[in-house]
Amino acid sequence: MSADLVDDDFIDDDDIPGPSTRGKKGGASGSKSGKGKDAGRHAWEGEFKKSWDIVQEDEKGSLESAVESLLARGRRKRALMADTPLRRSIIRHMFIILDLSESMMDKDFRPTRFEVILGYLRSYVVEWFDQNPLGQIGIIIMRDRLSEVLVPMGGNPQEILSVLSDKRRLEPSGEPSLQNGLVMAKGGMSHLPTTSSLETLIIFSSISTADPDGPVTIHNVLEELVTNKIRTTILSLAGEIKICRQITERTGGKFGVSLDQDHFKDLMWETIPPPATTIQSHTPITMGVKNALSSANGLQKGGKTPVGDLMVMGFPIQLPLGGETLCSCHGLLKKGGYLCPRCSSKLCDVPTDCEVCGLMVVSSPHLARSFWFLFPVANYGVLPIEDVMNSSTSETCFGCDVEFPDASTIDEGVAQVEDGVSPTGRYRCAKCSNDFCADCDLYIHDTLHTCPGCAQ
Amino acid sequence: MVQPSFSHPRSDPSSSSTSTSPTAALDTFLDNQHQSYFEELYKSEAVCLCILRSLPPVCRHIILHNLWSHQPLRTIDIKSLLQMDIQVSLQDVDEVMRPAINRKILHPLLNKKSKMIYPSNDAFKKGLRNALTGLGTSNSFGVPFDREDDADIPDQQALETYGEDAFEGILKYMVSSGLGVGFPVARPQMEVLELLLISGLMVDPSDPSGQNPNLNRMTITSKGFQFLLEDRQTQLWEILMYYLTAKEANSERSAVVLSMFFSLGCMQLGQDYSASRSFPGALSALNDLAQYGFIYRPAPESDQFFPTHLATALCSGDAAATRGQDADEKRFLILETNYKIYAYTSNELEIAILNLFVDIRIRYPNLVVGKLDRKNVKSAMEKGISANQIISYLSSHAHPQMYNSPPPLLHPTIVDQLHLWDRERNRLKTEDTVMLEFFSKELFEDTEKEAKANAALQLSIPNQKFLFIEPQTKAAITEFVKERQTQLRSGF
Amino acid sequence: MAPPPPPVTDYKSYPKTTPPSVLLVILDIHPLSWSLLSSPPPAIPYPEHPAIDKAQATPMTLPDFVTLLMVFLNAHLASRWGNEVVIYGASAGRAKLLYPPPPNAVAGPSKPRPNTYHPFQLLDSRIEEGLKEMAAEEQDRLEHGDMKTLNQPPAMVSALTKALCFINRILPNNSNSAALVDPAATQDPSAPASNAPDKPETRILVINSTPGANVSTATSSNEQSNAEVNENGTSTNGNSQNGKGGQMRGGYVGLMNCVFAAQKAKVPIDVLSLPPPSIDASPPIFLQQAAHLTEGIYWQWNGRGGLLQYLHALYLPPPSLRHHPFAVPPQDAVGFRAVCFCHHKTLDIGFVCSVCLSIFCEPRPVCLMCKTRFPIKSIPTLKTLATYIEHIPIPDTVPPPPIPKGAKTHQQNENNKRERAKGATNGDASGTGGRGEPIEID
Repeated sequence: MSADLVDDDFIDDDDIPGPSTRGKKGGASGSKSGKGKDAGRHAWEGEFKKSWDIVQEDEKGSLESAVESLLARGRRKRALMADTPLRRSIIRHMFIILDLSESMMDKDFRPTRFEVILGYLRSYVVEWFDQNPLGQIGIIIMRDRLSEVLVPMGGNPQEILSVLSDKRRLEPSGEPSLQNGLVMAKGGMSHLPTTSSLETLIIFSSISTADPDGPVTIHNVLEELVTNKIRTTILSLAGEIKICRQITERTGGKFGVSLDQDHFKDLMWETIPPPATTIQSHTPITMGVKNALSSANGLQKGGKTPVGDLMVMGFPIQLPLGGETLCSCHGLLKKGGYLCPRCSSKLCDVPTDCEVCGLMVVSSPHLARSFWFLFPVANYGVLPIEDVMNSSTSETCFGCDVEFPDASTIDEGVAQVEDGVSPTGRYRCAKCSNDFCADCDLYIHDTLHTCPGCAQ
Repeated sequence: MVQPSFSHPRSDPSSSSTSTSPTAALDTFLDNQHQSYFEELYKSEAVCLCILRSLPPVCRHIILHNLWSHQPLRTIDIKSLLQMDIQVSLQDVDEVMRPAINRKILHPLLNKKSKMIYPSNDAFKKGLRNALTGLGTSNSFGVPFDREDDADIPDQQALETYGEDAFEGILKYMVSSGLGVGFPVARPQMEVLELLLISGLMVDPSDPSGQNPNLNRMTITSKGFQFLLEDRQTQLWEILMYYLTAKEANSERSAVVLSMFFSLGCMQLGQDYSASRSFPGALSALNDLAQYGFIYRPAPESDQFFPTHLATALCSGDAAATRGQDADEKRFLILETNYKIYAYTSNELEIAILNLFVDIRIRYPNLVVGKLDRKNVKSAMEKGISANQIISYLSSHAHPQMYNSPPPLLHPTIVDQLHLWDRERNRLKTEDTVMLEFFSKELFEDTEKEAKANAALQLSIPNQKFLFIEPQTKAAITEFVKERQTQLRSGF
Repeated sequence: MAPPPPPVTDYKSYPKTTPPSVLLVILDIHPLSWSLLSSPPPAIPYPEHPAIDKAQATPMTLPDFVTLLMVFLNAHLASRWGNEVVIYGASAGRAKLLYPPPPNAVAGPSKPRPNTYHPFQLLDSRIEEGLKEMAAEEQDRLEHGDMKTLNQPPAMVSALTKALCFINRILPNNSNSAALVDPAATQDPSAPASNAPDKPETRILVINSTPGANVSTATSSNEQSNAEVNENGTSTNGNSQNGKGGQMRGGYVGLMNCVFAAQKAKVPIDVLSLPPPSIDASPPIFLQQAAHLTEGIYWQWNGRGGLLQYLHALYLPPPSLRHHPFAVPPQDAVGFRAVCFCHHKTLDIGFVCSVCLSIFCEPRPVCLMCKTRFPIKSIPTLKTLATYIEHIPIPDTVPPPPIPKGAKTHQQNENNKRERAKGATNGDASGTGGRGEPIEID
């Protein structure tokens, strides 16, 4: 295998390096063509090339950044398109239950279901957190008839991504146990108030489930899910399974069977926006506020729920990992934790509703993660060569203080503004009139979201 | 077909080159020095700075952590700093601080309550503090030369070329003596040749006794070949250490000279310094260094000197220094799985070195094409070059394009083949032995049994009644034979 | 949030080498803050530690501190070949790169000093020059009667963004943006990455001298947000925001954006807050949050000397050695408070728009950011709710020192006692003492 690759590289010395360029070009065109193709396309038509690219992405570390950059570009486009602020859900808790049975090694998705799903999952997590800044995701895997919490419930996408990139920990084997997976998810969410939105997303690749023999059956578990209001969505890679459909219908989730890779992705992405019910009718998510409202005054009951509302939120104090104190949510001795800003009771984790005073307690950085949508950085304009020659401009980039190319050396005839690329290498902020280099322009708009000049 | 696997040596061709640090020669030298030697060294701030950098990171940061405190470091401090269990034995703590203790920076001792404390060497502490604050008085970072402002001084590029030419001249001389292929080389000066002889890098083959060697007819030794394949910084330190050892052998004080090396390492490329004021105690040594290209003097007797990049990169602590500008020049090799080598270089020295183990087929002005083959590699191995050295040379000079293919950098086929060729040479193993010849069958069998029981038997040939035994057991076995013989005789 | 340190006792697992480290220092040189620091009020008594209590409050002037800082930066340069330093000065309302010097600047001092390592000399003299330049500019501003700008808070956010841009530039393969502009660019960095483990690691050290309360109230929303709000301002409150226009510098949102960018690039933001509790009891909470979120080290000076030792002990180890094998100093409680978009107050409890998640300090009928109309009926309820909101003070919890693993508690107590009796001389990082012990330098 590796011998082939090496040979490959050395044969065509001129256009090196084979895999990486191919991967990137293919990736770019692939994602574009994926969108552009007509809906009637069948699974067996023209999929091969794109799947091959996914292999390359996964095997070469350097490609990941390229792929990610494409994603980032897509996200940026979306952000640029949305003139009006996007609607964001408030608090969601989701366990992704991943089937890692041997069936994941099936090759109907290229190269394997496993590789494809893992790739999707990574971008899914990023996208999900972009749209649900206050949400939390945990990951449970099912294999060898056991279930295991891979990532406990948490709000840090980086942490999840780093775990997902470690493929050795995720080797598929054995059979899945749907029941064990669901029990694990239920246990993992038991500390959360039922008023926040609890969800599980099951990616099921097998066509059977090997559940433990005993008095408790999957039907009992289903009952508990219903009582605990855990919405369960199941996406099957293989086919429709009765129990799966039953679970989703009873818990108010969705059931989907993928036709092909793209369809599967669409199904997955459909679960990113907050569930419809949380927006329209009596929303479990705003219950924290509702509770607070009703405790103060019995207003608002039964009235038409408005689209938007103001919510009272408290920003807690995180305690250092010193001694152990009792928490108010479980009554257990624990290290660390958060103090409710209103009643000073200790909570294990945020975001949550305070057990004592009912205040919705969230971590302000979680909120702040979405603020860049609200304060977009002004676009930087290309600086034509005359302006550089005429006005006394700074010699260095205002961001990274790199030296600009000497304007006098640029040939005026050649220097045309093309494709938004500045011939002078300078991009000027419309607001603060500082000049930036191309690298900083992209970094500021893609990642930093704050203009160094405007921040002064 | 079962492939022999050499995966363990192969997996770390690169790490093997990094694990043996370029300053290995210096480290061994320092490890053998006494307290008083270090006391003298630490008078120079430059030495303190360089020694600090040579420590492993954890140890280094503990020293810095404690630098401004007037209390000695205690075991408990180290333990809590390193999150160690309180029960961890003193030896383990010692082990962490071992490099500093070896360099006599810390002197572990038991205090009254039989707790271990690590007071630091006052000279070192003072030196390092002065190095950081710039309050020293030893002029160890070099006194600049007072020159007229309009004086013509060589630029950095010129200095680098000068240093490179001087040092490569010596290397070329060594190579050409071994290859017999003619490319014009200037013979280095006598002092240099003497050092090459003393260090054992070259030897006069016509003078096996070594009493009266002819310096003009020396050839390179296997040690010399190995030296050639090292990276530049290792070579520099090795040469310097040979020089220092030679000085010591002449019972001269070497601490001043060593301290000068460190000072040179902290100097600035392109700046001129005054020799007499910077190194009043080591002027002759400085003159010697000029012959290796470490410094450049505009005029032979002038007080003004410029350190070249060879000198200023000495203390950079890792290979990154020598990387710098020559990094790209150094990466010129493309090795294919069919053993073909393309070397994009026009450097005579590199080509000569390649010629040691590569069958060079084509030479263009900037490209050499050759092939790794058994004959050439084995002849290189005859000269004392090991497979690992070839591998590390190949990987450290690999062209950036080689990195674009998936790792490992060098294809396993080639690495394994090189190891196989290396093993081939060692198919016959020679061992010393003692042969016993018997005339009596009983005696032979008894002795064989006895030898076997004592693991002394190497080989026995019953037909001819020959026994081969370990030499060191000869006395015991002959004793036994004699005893047995008398027994057997008396039995008759 | 910091992961619990792995139980390590095996010295063999200690790293043999560390990557070269780039230290970006952001020095707050706000003149008003430094004038406060140079004549501090008497230190708050600290009866628990008599040895500390004895130590007097040390006045700290900018030149004194810069001298200490230079020694610290020299130590950083000294600790590994290839280490680099970048310094930004943040003054009232503006930030500037002090070192490395701009490329066209006159090259340093003409002659190396015989007793100073040349890189140290370059760094030190350039910092001095840069600070003098900045001071001259401040003087200039002052003379031109632009008194208002002097009251602006230090431009921390601007300095942070600059530092992050700098990091983005020196680590091209770390960024998505580089790949975006030129897909081929990613191939190149991959080559050195595989052969050279020497990708530099970076960290940012923010040295804050502005009292915490000021930082928190003054850090506020983007200027831009203000403009936008006013432009489209349908609300009657639009005018009230204008009054605070002078304070609109840097900003909470900007700082948070920096934090997330740093998180993404895995750059820890260390914070050293100079104003001792005697000047201002409340810490600069947003800088503290920044340190906490990026797993940096936050520490507040107690105003009683020992800064040089603290700098070396707390901030010198590079990120690759922190957590393992070195212990990180225990961190205080972190208040996750936020700033409202309408009046730029620091809030414990706020009103959040459910659509765009903007934060307000009082109930309002229309969201300022997304123009969502809130149900009019809930306003009075919310108003009554607002009256129930009471702030609680941040407990000045000092975490007890980590008990060495396996130690018997009474042993630990003994240690502590001895420590106090002797007058501890080691830094906080050793973990055996509480914070704020004075250190004398001999």
